Amino acid sequence: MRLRRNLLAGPPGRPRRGPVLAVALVTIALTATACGAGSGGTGGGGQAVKEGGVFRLGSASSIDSLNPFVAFQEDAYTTFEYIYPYLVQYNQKLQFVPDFARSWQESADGRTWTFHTQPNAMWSDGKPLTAADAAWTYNTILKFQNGPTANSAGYVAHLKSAAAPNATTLVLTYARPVANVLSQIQQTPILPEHIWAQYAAGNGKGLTRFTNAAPIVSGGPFTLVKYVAKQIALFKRNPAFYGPKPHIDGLGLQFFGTDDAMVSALKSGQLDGIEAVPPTSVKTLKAAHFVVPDSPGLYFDDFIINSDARQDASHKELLNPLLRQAFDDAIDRQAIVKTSLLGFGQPGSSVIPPATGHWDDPAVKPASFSLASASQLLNQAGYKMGPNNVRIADGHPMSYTMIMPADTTDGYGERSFQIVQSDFAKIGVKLNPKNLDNSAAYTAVTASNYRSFELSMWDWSPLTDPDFMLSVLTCGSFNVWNDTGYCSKAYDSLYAAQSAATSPQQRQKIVYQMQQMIASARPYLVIDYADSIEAHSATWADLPLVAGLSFAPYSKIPFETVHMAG
Amino acid sequence: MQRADYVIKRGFFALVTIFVAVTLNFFLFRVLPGSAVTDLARVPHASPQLRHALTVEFGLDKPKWEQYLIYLRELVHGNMGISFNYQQPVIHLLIADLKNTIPMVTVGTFAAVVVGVSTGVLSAWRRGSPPDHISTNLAIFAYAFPTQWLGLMLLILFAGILPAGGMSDPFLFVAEPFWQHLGDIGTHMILPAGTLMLTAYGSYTLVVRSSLLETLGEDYVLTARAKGLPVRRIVWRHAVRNALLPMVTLIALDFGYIVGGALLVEVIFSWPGIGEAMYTAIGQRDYPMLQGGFLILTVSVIVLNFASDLVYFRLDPRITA
Repeated sequence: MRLRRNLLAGPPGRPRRGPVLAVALVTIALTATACGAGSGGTGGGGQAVKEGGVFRLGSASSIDSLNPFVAFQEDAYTTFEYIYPYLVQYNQKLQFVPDFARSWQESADGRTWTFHTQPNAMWSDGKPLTAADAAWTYNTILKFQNGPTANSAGYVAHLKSAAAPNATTLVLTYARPVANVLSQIQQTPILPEHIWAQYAAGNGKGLTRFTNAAPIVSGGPFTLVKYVAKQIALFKRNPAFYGPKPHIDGLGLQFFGTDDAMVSALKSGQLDGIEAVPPTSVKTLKAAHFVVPDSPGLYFDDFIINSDARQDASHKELLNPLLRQAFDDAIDRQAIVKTSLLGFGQPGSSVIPPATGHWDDPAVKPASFSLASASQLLNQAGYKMGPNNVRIADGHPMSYTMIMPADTTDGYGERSFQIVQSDFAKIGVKLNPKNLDNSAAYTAVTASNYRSFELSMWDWSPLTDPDFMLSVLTCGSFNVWNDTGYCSKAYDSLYAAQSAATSPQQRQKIVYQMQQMIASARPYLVIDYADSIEAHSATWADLPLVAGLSFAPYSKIPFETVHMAG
Repeated sequence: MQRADYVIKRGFFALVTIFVAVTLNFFLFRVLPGSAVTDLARVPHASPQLRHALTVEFGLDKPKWEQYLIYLRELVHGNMGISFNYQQPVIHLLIADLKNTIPMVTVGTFAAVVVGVSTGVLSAWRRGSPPDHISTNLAIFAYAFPTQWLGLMLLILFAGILPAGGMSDPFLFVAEPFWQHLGDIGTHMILPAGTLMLTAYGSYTLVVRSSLLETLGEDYVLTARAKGLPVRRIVWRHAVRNALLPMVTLIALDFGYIVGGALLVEVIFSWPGIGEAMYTAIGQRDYPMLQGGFLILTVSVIVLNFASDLVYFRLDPRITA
């Protein structure tokens, strides 16, 4: 019987670092290896496993580059996940489980992490895959982090050095305790030194010029054998892979310009599955007997209020907590979920979505929709109704420009905005949409050091670890990621504290505290958490989702376990 | 001598236009708010270090005039720069895109010309008859339909019958035999080229009809009729040949736009051509890709316009330098 690693990952709970976790994971890995050695039999869902076949997956995104030091698109990162070794990966419960590292330990002072990697592993070209490749990758990123490897600089934050004392041991030494080491390394592909070292010579610029064209020397469960830009990425099972061998012969990723064309291709049998299903297509796909799993995703939509204390006097009332609470109360989240998301989502509350597992604070609840309460709060703030049913605040009408980036207007955000606009009109606040492409929208938000913008409606797709999303609201993120103008020294101190917390419990407590601060200050009014919806033909089975996705840069498990239904 | 003067004068104007277009291409995109680096603001992997590194690497830290001079210098050497997004030479990327675009748009445009000229001649020849009304109204409808709407309707209508996207069946580990591959591309081309044909043929029908009606009223046509020549011969041999003169400009301009691709058609049918590449580049503020793409578009329109001037000069003796 073939057992899936994600079903063996132990009881649900918060991730725990250190030796306890390491021992548990060694047990998991050994059990998985022992049980995963066979082939055929039944899959995790109890269905008969039929080996072979090529899973044809449709994507409305693209791969911008096959070079990990150049790429930005998620499909590119997922490609790396399946072709390169990573030390750890997530399972379905968003716990860290072994990948190339079979186990790991953290030193008592939290500054040294030791990983024990798979022995006798090979790259697809037959060269040995060892801890030395991992050490070279980390040291190269460190060396050029202000230049050619800058897009990976976040993975080596506070890392001092990487060393491989032997072929199966990697030691990472940090300058200080780092709370999210496993999250950082989960995002770092290990590259074959014998291929890449020549490009790291001199100033390292060769690292970004290398196209890394297919066929790529791989160490993951698949090798990328064919890649035609904007058309296809074709993966073949890698017989040299150190982990559980996939049941499928290959995986094909075809890129589409529109969702409609992709859904049409699925319905007509040109594809076996699609990465993202528009809510409007769910009903027809279910009626056509496709498997359409929907699960909470990491993505959320938000209403942004300029939170910079230095903003122009013409809209400084936006800093008034009563106004912010009134705006929060005037957003009909239930109606938005029902109308815009067609029920595939839930009302939003915190900037850390529930899909992160254990990092979202359940005490932060969505505001109750009440226009009466919103009006009362605005009255309390002294903003009386003026001509044309628009209130007057500090001598000027409460009429605001709302920056609408293409990210919002291209999807269902337009419908959500119309609901919000209509309700705000009822409480005497006029919203005037200003549609811009994403680049122009960010420039408009940050113009004059956040002084001029008023409101915006955008979205975030955070990572599973809360560090990045929390960093967005720090003062240090001004003109980098910060799109609210929010800056608080108390918040920044908490951010620093969580990033160096020595225990998960301690870190979680701080992360909860930060979410409560944000919920109270309201730079973001989180509108909704959209579900992640995928679809695949019923002729395939055992395609698990990790963070709501099957083809995602979190885990190799989904396409290791998927197989043709018997 | 007169012919040489004409060619020199037109050639000079074409070169000046290209230079002006090159300059406009450079400044046009930089006038837009946002930049290739601000676009990375919401990407978790885009660390502050990366934003700085890219700003320096892309030369965006230099004054605009300096960037412009570098651009001109490199262009003279045939270098269109490195794509900000793909970190690959723009010329290689655009040539790959052009190779995909040209066959599809050529087939669509050629089909539109054939159908448009045929229906235009038929309408003029049978002026006022039911075929004329049907043909003219269909042409007006097709001309008026938004490309994206027509494309989506065809996509839905032919779901399961014709491929919904891409250029060929991509899920093959081994290369198909040449003729099979060609047939595969042809099947994938039917919907995008068909959409292009339907949206373009209407204008040809209307122009040919109008031009032919005018020609059919000329004295020499009346003379031919008086001499008892067969109607078919009068129409095809005498009238159509002269009526097609305005079509030379129209077709030349349309072929000039071929390299711009049919942007909407390429996006709808996931056709990996230059139109789709430019659409993506605008969103990403990939200046080198935009400059390169617009340069190719500009040059091809100007060159084909120049060619149509020369053809006109050759065909119509009334035109002088």
